[in-house]
Amino acid sequence: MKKVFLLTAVAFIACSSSKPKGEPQTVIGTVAVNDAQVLIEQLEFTRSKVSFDVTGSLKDQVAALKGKTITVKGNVIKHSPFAGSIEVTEILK
Amino acid sequence: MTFRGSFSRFIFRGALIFTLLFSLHCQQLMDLLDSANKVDDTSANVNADLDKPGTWMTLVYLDADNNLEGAGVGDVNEMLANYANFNGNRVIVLMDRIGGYSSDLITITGDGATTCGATVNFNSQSVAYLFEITSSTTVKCVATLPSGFTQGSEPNMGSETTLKNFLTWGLNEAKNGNFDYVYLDIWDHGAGWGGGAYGGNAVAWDDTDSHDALSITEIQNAMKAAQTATGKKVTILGFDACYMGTIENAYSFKDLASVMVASEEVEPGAGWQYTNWTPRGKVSPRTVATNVVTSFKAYYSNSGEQVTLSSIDLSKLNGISTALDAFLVKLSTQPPAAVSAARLAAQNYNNNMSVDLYDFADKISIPEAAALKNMIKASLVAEAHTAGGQVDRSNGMTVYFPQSKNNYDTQYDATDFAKQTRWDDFISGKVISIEISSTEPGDATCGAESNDTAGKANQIGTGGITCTGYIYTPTDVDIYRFTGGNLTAAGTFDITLSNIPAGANFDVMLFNTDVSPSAPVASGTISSGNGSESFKYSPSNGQVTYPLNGNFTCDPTVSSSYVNQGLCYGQGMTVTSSTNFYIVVVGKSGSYNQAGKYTLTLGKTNSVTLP
Repeated sequence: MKKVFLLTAVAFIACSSSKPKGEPQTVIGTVAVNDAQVLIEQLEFTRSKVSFDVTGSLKDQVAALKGKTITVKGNVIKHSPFAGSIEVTEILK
Repeated sequence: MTFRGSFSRFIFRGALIFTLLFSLHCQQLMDLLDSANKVDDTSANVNADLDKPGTWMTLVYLDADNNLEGAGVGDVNEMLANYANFNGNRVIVLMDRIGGYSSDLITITGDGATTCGATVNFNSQSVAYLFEITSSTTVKCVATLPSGFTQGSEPNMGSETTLKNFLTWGLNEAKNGNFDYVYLDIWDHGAGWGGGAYGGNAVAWDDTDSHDALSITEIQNAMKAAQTATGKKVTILGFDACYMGTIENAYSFKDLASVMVASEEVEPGAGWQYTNWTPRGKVSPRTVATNVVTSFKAYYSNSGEQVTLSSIDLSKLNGISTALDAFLVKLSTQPPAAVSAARLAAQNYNNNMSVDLYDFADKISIPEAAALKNMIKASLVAEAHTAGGQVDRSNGMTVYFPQSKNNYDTQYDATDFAKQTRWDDFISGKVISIEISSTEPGDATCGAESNDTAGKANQIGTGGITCTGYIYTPTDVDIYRFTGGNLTAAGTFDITLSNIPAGANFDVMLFNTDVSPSAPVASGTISSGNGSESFKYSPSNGQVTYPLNGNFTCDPTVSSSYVNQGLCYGQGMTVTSSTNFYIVVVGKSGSYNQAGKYTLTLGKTNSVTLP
């Protein structure tokens, strides 16, 4: 039983550690909400618009700020120069 | 004597001779075409007559499979609004949407057959359709499709294959429909060179296909393949995207299209104004290339947006690159502080990783700068920008120019522009044209280093060196380097050039980078009239201290030299080395008449110990 528990724990830690957490960053942008996503957008009126898909427990709080420019802390994973995701850990302002 | 520079010039000369020989046949062909009242300027390998009116097929590669989906729908609506003015021209769009970013509807009229079936409501779907603007309100599903594409599927717009198949199909449509000209418009995000965080030069990101994007090489490959398959050539290549108005891009497409339209700066989300530029009736390439630029500026003039757009005649790129190399050779003789100041003052873009090439040259007071500027101006079919701010001194094309050589992106080496010009050597901090290739013309034997990195530096043995060099053009520069070891006592180097061809005059300079200022410590002119001549440098003249193992600080305020310029155009970097010597051989300005081979001999006298 102890072995099973130990293996499970090791597997859990291994899986957890392999999951990309992203880079801790402060992001400033405007909140946008569409059919599928809550986004923090930068340069939103340009062809260089950058969109961060908001994840994490604060997603709804961010969504409530739709249209506002906010500053958040979070773990950023950049998929391309113009797309990424951010697990918001703190809404600074 | 750069191998790549020499090679390009060899190819260019060959092409010129071929063109001259072939021109009679081309003229006969053109006469036949004219007699049939057909322009046919999309024929492969023929540059369009920019002033000849003709009919148009516009192919829009609209990659809205990302966060620009809403802007994509807006531009399709602008195309619809211009339909009444098409007058026989066709506008066909391959549009890939992501769904979610915009629910705006595009109604596609079906063909009642298997390709589209009935009417398609194209909204909030992460799929693509190929459709044609066929009225002012609706678009029509295209029945005959590009290879590998089905309506309502999910193509990877960042794939070379997708673009190749679309363009091949479009060029064939133009060919079969007897359209005179083809406009390929690649629509999406763009990064341009020096994107820093934007990560290299690409366009058309597809967020549902692993965020793939089209590299410049992929676009080149797609265009070459489509041209080969169809015998047709794109007339105008446009990038409705940010930052694509670079000389690097223009150079990459100089043989694949006649005109390139692109922006030096970020574009507003709405992009170009399709209502006002998509070709109206039989119009010339110059008219279309001008309309897209002027309508763009006009739309944003009162918006507060800072915009710039240019149309570049790609047939002028060889001339620009030649003028640029001549400019760089002379630039290296300018005070580094002046070069640095010009860089800092030039209109910059893209996180200050690139500058307007004309504006940079405009700040250097040498004749070669004026020549370069004239070539740039001559290449512009149209250029327009709003007043003030970030675009005020835009002149049509940017060039990658990081502020520090330490920020140089080595991926740049792979660009056609870097391969064919000395610009990469300049911005990467290398001594201009430090390339002594064993494959260069004239049986040169001065080594085979492809670049002046420490590991490849041409080591000169204890007995000195005797080898064959080759000056290929008046702007050619040969640089020989020997490093390492110590001078154990005062002594003298002898540098001799002999076997100089008739009519050739060379300037020869010796630099020592371990002393500051690093102006030439010795120099002289050697010409064929003298047959053989030498000059001497004695390190006992007080400019060198022993044992020559100190650091050399490149001070931007010291007088200019090839070495100093190349190492650090005002960056103040420190080079840790000992006894770094460069021998520079350059065609003598104003009196160079003949390319040719020469023999370089480096010897030593007295107690100098060569490495």
